[in-house]
Amino acid sequence: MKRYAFLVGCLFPLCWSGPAWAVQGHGQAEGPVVHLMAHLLLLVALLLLLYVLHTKPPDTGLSWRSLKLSLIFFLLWDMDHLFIHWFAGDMYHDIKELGGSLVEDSFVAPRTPLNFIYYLGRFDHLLCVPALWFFTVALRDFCEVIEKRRQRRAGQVS
Amino acid sequence: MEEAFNFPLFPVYLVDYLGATVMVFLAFCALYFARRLTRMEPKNILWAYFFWFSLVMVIFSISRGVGHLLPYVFRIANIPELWDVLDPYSGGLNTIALCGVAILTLHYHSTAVLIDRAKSDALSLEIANDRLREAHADLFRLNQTLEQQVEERTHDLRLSEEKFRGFFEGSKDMIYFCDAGGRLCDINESGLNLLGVERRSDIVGQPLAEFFLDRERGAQYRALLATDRQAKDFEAEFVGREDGPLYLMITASAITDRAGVTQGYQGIAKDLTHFKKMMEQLVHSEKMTSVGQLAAGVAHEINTPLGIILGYAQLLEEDFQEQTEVHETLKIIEKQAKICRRIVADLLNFSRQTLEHNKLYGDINQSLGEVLAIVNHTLNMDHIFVHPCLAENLPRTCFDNERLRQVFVNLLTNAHHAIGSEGIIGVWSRWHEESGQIEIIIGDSGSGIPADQLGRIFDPFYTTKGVGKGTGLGLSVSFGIIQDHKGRIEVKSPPLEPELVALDMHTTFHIFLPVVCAGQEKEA
Repeated sequence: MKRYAFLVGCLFPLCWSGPAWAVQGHGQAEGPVVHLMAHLLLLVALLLLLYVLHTKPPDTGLSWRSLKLSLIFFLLWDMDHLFIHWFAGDMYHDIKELGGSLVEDSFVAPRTPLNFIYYLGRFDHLLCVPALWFFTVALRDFCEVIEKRRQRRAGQVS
Repeated sequence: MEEAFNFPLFPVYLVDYLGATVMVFLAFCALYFARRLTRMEPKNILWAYFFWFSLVMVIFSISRGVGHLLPYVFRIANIPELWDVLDPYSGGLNTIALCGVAILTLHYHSTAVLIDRAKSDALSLEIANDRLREAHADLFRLNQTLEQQVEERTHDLRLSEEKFRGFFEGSKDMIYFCDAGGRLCDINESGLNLLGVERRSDIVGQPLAEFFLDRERGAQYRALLATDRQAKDFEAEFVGREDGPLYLMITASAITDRAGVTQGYQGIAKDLTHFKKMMEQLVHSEKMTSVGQLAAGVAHEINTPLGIILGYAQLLEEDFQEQTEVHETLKIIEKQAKICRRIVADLLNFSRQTLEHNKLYGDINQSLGEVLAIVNHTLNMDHIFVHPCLAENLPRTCFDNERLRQVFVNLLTNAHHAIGSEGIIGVWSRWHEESGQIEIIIGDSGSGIPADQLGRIFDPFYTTKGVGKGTGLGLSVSFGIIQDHKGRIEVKSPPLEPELVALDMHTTFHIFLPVVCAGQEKEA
């Protein structure tokens, strides 16, 4: 019975179907939307990975702690970008950035907390650089741990 | 008018510029370490994930670095519109990189779940394998222990078997095992020798009861085992070797299983044949000694009045003329008195109380020859052929020639009477070096002696001859004389030796005399 109901449900939209084109057109807004979706996807993936590492930690060493910190910074960076792209996307119209030169460029916007957060959010490298730093440190520590383990095994054998 | 922020953007540009540069550097460093990790542990899925993550981060950092740096460069170069051309590509690449990182992460998660399951399965398998290994080790240990125990038990069993086999084969008594039907399963060497069987296979399977001389006694033995399941000191005569029946004393018991069902019988049979013969000889010897003492006493008491009767009879004969009735009567008295005196003399001779020993160093063959020369004529008259077979290597010994000749005469006379007429008398002399004895055999082809009379023929006054033909003292006297020579006399009827039977000998007397030199006799 459920199967028939599902089939009928699938066929139901055909009652209102219109003409279809083989090649779909892509508007100008598609780029930011896709980018936002990518950030959302990354957010979900990072949350899942953090959840897995938190619930089932493979180990408790410093390297794993660095990895966790790295993922947290990546998560914050991703959230920062989401905020920048999503919440502050429309503010470009009201913001005057360009000056005469790079030094003279300034951010002029109404004094609202959102605009202030937006300005701070522009410093995203302060999040992604530590994230990649901790990631690199974690990988380096993993290498050292494995190296020591190998040397210990080699010592036991000899 | 609402107040407005006016923040300088140069710090933002500066952070972007430096951050993008550091990002590219760190991304490559991460890629380097991730590559090392994958090389060190190629099978680790996390390292593989980190490698691809780092690779995507390299692409992302370069793309982003370009996105951050080139606009400033183009602005400085006064060609800012050029960035408008490159911006979509840089942004697209960033989006792809983000999606790539996200997909990699999700894929890693699902792969990690699968790997966890696989690891879990592998762990289960490893645990199972460990348990199997432990079980195998336990089994191996148990097997070794079992092997050791089996080896020890086998060793003990072998020792026990050797002990039993040594006892079984070394025993001088007959040890045997029978099945439930009473058929022999196994018997030791002594048993084979006793029963006169050469090979064990010849006797295995035969019922033990068949070896009983008296079948009724065999049935009694089986009935006793069936009812009491044991037989203690059961005496029976067995069919034995050629030298006569065996007299065995059996102690046997039933072999039962745990349920109490009889599986067979085991027994030990002691050979009492020799003991029995010795006992018979001892009894006989004691009897003869008693009779001899009695005879000696009687003869001594009779001898004096007999001498007086004979003396007075001879004196009276002188008072009466010959051919008179009184004289003839006195002659009869004298004759009967002399017969009585001879009987008394024989009695005294039997009891060894009369004659002085006159043993001299001589040849028994010569003594035998002299006797044969005397009796040969008489025997030939009755067509009795004498077959002498005297050993040439017979050693000389000390003996009383007169008395021994009397023995030979007695035995030959008995043989003559046993044959009657037409027969053979065999005379043999043998030297048994191992026992140091001389054996003289005198046999005849007469009718033989019934078994019930064999034990009495040496008794004084026992005779089967008619009245007036014998006094019954001949063999008794011979027995006494041989005993006086520290020898023994035996009678076999029929003879045991096949060659004697082949010569038609039905009765044989065997005299065994020890070889004694003159010096030894004097010492004795």
